Amino acid sequence: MQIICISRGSYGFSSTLSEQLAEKLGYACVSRESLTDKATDYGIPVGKIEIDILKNKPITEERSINIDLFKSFVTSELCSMAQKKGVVYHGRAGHLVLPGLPNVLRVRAIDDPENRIKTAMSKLNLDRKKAKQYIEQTDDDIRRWVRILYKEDWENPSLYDLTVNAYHMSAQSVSHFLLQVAKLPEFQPTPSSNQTISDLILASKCRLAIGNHDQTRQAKVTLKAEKGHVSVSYLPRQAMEAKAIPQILESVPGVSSFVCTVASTNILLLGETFDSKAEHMNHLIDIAEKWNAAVEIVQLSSDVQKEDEIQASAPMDSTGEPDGGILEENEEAPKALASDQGLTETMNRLIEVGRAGCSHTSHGGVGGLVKDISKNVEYSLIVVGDMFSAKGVAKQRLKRDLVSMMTDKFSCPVLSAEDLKSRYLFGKKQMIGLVTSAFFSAMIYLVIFGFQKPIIKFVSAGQLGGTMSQKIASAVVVAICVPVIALVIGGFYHNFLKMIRLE
Amino acid sequence: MDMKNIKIMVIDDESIVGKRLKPALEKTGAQVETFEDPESALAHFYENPTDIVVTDIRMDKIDGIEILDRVLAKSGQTKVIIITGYATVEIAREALSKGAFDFIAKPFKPSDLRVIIERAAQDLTP
Repeated sequence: MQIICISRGSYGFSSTLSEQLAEKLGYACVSRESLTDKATDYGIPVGKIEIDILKNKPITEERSINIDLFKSFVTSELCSMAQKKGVVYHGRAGHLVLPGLPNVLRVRAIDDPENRIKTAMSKLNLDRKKAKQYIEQTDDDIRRWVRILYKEDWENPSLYDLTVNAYHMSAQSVSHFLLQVAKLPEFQPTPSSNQTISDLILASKCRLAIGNHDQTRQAKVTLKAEKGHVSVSYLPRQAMEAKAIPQILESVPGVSSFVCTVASTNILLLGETFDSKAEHMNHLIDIAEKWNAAVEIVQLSSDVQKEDEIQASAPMDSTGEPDGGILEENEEAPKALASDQGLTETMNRLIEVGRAGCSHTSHGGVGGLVKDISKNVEYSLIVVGDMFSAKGVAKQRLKRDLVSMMTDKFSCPVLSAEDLKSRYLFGKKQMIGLVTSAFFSAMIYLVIFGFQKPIIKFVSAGQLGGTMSQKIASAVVVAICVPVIALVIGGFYHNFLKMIRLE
Repeated sequence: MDMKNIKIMVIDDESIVGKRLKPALEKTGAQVETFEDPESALAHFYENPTDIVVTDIRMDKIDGIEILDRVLAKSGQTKVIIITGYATVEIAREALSKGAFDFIAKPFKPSDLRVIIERAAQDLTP
């Protein structure tokens, strides 16, 4: 059945609009609030996600898992409703709740700022200054919420099919207008969109089942479903928890087959200090996302005490049973180290983007570091980050030596963090390379195809009774030109594939 | 302000919340009273205003936002802390705009609330 998603800001007019539209179409009208209440009753602490975002707290792994579960819950509820009856959903970021589902009419309902202030003043009984502040702060919170949950800009117009403005039209007129838009062929369900709905329901039910199971509650998984086949991938450090996943999936109705795999690959980041906002971290995350890789961090500690202690990667809360919402009194959570050289922040950033592997601290210098790196994990890339800061001018040389030593010890590529972009990502430099190599490739093709006869004659002179000097000349020219041509054309395709993110 | 002189009122229609929070908040040294019925809690507050009120948002007879309004109308010095399992940024911002001291989402550990209570106590004028 048809799905219409109306995205609203705080105190817009979209609730009335959605109710009127649903009534005219004979559809169910679902608000975000009703779904968040249901999700809370189901056991997902949506309120904690909201308040963490309001208080601008870093997203821990536990919170990131709760976000996944909340999104799965919303998808499951909305799609299940849509299988029975058309649905008009209204809420903040309504346009983003069903990503990848075609034929959904995505509408943004906005209101005049002055109207919003007046509505807030009358509904909340606030004076003008406080009402204005309330709207600004709530909008900021929602912007942050959308960015954290959906990695999108709330106000990006390209994500909506339509924007309607309460300042120019009444809810009655807009609902009448949307009634006509909803009849357009572009927004009608198709067999393909119905299949996508079934796939989304199955994927979200599997995700919720994994999140509900004691053994896999803390597992960070990515999940896809297609016509009854479910594929789950998890992080390498969660191999123990993941053992229960097949048993869980078997019990989910609708799963005909499944495959459960570890995240395709692992990237190892080495460093003494870390900066979660550094440019090379953005590059590393881009690569990890491109490769479906988990990023494992090994911090080289300057102290020499030898400990094989492996610390948990993520700040974890206790998982005591909720009782009236007040958890058991227990020991205080260990406070983060006063200074862990940016490790916690960097791990939190990786957790936020769903790419966190584990983190270790290695003591005993570079020799200890090499010993501490697990030989059982196959890395696809080792990145040497900020190291040897205390060594002053020798820093770069020591870093190069380490890269060289690691290259000898491990079979995967070892790179300095600064080289990530040029090696694996597409930027300005690669664009210049692409254009240059494209130009020379075109010239090569032009010359070869434009002068086929003399070229063939010259190259084949050795075989067709030419003199010894002609044979030598053609051999030398071929020996020089072939690698040059390969380099130019290879360079073009190398950059081109990088540009289309296909390697 | 010395915690021994602080009076805290906890209002939540789930009896378990009061039962759990009373001993946990008494660890701060403050005097703690718990109420399940918001009307009787307000009646008590009008006669004996407390320094800090901890209230749930969703309750049958009176909601936490109304309690916030009425408590601050009676005693502007009182710090009101909102606790709820159904928090949204809109409700939290509304409560904070209306003068709530802080907002905490359930489930939480009593120690999390104690930290906020201690902060509220420091903010009270002696």
